[in-house]
Amino acid sequence: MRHCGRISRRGLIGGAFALVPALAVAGESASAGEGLPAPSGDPILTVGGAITNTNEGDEAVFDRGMLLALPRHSLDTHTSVTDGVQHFEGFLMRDLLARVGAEGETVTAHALNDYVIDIPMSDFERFDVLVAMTMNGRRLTARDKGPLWIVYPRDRRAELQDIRYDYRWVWQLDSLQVR
Amino acid sequence: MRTDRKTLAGYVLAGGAILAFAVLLGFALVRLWETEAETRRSIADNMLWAIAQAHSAALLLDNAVARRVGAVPGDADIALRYDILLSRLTLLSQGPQARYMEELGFARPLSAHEAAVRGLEDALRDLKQGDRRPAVRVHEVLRPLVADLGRAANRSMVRQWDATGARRDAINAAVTQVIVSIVAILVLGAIICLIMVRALLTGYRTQQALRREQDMREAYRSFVDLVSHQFRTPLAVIDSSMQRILRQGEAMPADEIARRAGRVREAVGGLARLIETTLEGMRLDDGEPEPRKEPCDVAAAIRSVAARQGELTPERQVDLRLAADLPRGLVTDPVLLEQILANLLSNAVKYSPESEPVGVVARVEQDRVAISVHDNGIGIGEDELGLVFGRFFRSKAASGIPGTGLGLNVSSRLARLLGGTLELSSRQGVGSTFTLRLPLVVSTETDAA
Repeated sequence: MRHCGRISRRGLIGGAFALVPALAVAGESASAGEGLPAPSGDPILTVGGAITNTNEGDEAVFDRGMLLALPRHSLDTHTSVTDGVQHFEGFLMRDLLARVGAEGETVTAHALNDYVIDIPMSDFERFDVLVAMTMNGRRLTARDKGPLWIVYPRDRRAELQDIRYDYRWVWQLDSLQVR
Repeated sequence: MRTDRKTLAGYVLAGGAILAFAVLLGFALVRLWETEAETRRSIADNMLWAIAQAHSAALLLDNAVARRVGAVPGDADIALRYDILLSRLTLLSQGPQARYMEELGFARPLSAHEAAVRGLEDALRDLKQGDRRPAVRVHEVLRPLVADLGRAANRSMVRQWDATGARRDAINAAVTQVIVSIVAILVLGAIICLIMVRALLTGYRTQQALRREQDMREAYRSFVDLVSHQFRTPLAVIDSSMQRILRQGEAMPADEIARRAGRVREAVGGLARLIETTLEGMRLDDGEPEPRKEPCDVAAAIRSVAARQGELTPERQVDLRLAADLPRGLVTDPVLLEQILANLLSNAVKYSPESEPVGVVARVEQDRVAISVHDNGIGIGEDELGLVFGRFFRSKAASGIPGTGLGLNVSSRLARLLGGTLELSSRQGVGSTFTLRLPLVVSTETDAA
């Protein structure tokens, strides 16, 4: 119930999609993404800002297949909005950021519902922060908390059982800006 | 019996204080821990936000549908808006959120609304510009949902503020209790410290009393020694002289009787002096006399003491060397001063050969008056110098000479009473010098007169 949308950057999603083709054209001569292929399916996550590996302009755009290609991890934990232990599967935020060559202090996470939160990069070094694609074996959808949900290993580390970490569990995640 | 009861009361008080200290400390710690846990416990803090977001998602969907039908340009991603509204309603129907909505009394209407919203999927897919019917249907589903969410938000706000107030009250109460406990702990700590200090003092006093007792026992033993050695000899002299007189009766010539009587008187006089010094020492033990200070002519006091010694031992020579600037109005206790001097002088006479003169030298030194009594007698060995002023001290070299071992002890104590000092310099076989130094306080009246 904490990471519900905030209408602060309304219209960004539509805007971002509109911009993608233009940027792709402009960025073609620069770097076509070192080893980062162009997405073939529907893009579900966009990473921008201080990154070195891009595939569309100065952004890295991922479809579901590309995300599934990242090293798989799973995590069993309680959450602040559900009852009981949930089983999550997905990839580590650390691996994703390494894939795009992110260098910075802060990651600004943006959700479909316009929720925006700054997360310190150090979180991903200190904890195995998961970006979940499934919960209890079922694919997360935009009608629930999908397609991507940032999940902290809350049960493993007592310091994470704090409302100041709860608000970093961004669901309906759709883009990241590295700063 | 009374002391026993007092001691018991002391133990009970101390035990009670320590117990109360521990209990209060425990209580304060528990309350603090509870308060800490209370501040961590998150009540459904964010329910208002969750409800408001669902409310806004419903309005945005309604708005997007109206725009699509009315061909108003703008953000009209209906599928996304629909997904977001469904995710909001899903959230409210899950786990802790569902329980909270149940408590607010909105769980049932909300699940009906959710079913109705899910039923809109086909209508939303078929939306066409100008076709108002599906738009009206969507609006009719969303309008009561928006109204219910508004009321739920309202109730949630009231509930949260009540809970926040109650929680603040509870925390305040706990903090107050902890503060009171800490104050009580401080007071108890002070009491325990006081009890400990008193116990230490009592221990110290007991130790002092024990030492005094030991001193007394030592003194008593010395006194018994003294009596057996010093009193027996003159008594034997008296006894034998009397026996002789009795036995010979009238056959004894008058001058022989006179000689024996003289010896008896001498022995009696010695005994009287022994008793006098012993009593003096005991009087000092009982409680030191308050010196009665008055102007005193130092030279006159010395001459008077020397004269009295001359009466007792007319055969002995006493040389006086008195400085001309000796104060005639020294503020001191003349009686005690003369007692000290008489003691020193009689010692000097007693412990030196008859052929040797005894000297008294008096002078002024800066802020003191110094009176030295000097003899060419047996002296005192280095090993005994530190013991001379102790009670019942008798020099090994003086074992043949009657004495109580109290004279010098009494003299040095009297010197201290007068604010002065009594010091000794001596060499065995050469002689001794005792020096009495008194503070030079002169009464102006008398000296001026």
